[in-house]
Amino acid sequence: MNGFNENYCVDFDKAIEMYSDMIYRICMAITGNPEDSKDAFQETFLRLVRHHKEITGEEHLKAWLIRVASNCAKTMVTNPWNKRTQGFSEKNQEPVYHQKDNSLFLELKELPYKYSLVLYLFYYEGYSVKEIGDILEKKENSVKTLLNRGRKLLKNRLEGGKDDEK
Amino acid sequence: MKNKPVEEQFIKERVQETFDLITASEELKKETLERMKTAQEEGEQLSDEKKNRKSSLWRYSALAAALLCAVGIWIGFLRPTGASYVTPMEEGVYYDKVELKNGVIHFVNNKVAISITPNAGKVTIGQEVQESKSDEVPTADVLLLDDGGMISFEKIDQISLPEIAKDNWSYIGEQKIYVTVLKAENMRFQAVYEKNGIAYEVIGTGTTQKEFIDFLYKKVME
Repeated sequence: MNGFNENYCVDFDKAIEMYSDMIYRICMAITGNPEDSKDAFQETFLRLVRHHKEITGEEHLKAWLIRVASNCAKTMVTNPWNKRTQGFSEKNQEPVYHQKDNSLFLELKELPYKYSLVLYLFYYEGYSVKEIGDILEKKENSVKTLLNRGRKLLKNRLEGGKDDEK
Repeated sequence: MKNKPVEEQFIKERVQETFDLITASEELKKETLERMKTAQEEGEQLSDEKKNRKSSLWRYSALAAALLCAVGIWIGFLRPTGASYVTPMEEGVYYDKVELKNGVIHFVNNKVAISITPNAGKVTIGQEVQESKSDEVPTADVLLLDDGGMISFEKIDQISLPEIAKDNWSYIGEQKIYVTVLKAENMRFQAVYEKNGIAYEVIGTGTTQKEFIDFLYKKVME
């Protein structure tokens, strides 16, 4: 997480171009639905506008975006309004992510978000356990535990078993 | 345990394949970017307003400071000099404390204004009058005012000094003086003091307090 540069200036166009897919994936991993993901996605970048002066480098920007996106998405999930209501567009709606085989995503979506986020960062973004801990401000051991449990739950689900976490 | 790396690889590949297919739409990116730019402009506007407010505040502060300076200068240098009578003298009140600053007499807390060395060197009046005498001392003077008032100044016997004066001296400079006022029809001021062993009495009739104190001040400082 180095790359500190006093004169670093966030280029919004470039930030959108480089990180929008990553942010959207994080939001999807946590919320499991496109509507909330879009809201969390936009909220993340709007927060970047407010806080861009605090960003000191490219790696800092990426880590900052991951942390803020996960917080925004978690807010969407835990928002009592979202728990009690279901938007029109979500009824009988097929996920808008276009994929031939979305079975894994459906399984991931069913996992508690704390696991799906860590699985995404570890397997997709290639972050180490320590780096994930730094980004999410969690202890390394906590990340390890989340990763192991998430992995186990996902495996169970893929094998047709049931998990008892959700 | 042998299967673990295989499982791990399998999960990794599946996770990658799955998330590869999830992308933010161009529409979402475009809309977000527009919102970001709008928010930035609004933020800059807010920031400008803040700056303007700050600079206005500075302007007002500078103006207030300039006004204060002007008032200070007026008080310090441009204000007319001479005796200043903040508090009118009251009948039956013996003014034992007066402040004198830059030639301006200040009456404080119902007490007129002199000096510098209050209660300095108590003297026994009778003794001093007897001990020091001068041939060149002024003996009498009368000031007739344009509006009919009159202020008289004369040498008196120390016996005439009011008894009360012993405990109610005022000061003009270092000169002890007894001052009082009688609010009769023609407001009458009286001052008694001794200088070089000689006792003097100043009486103002039909004068203002300012005229009386100005006269008294000149006589005492002669």
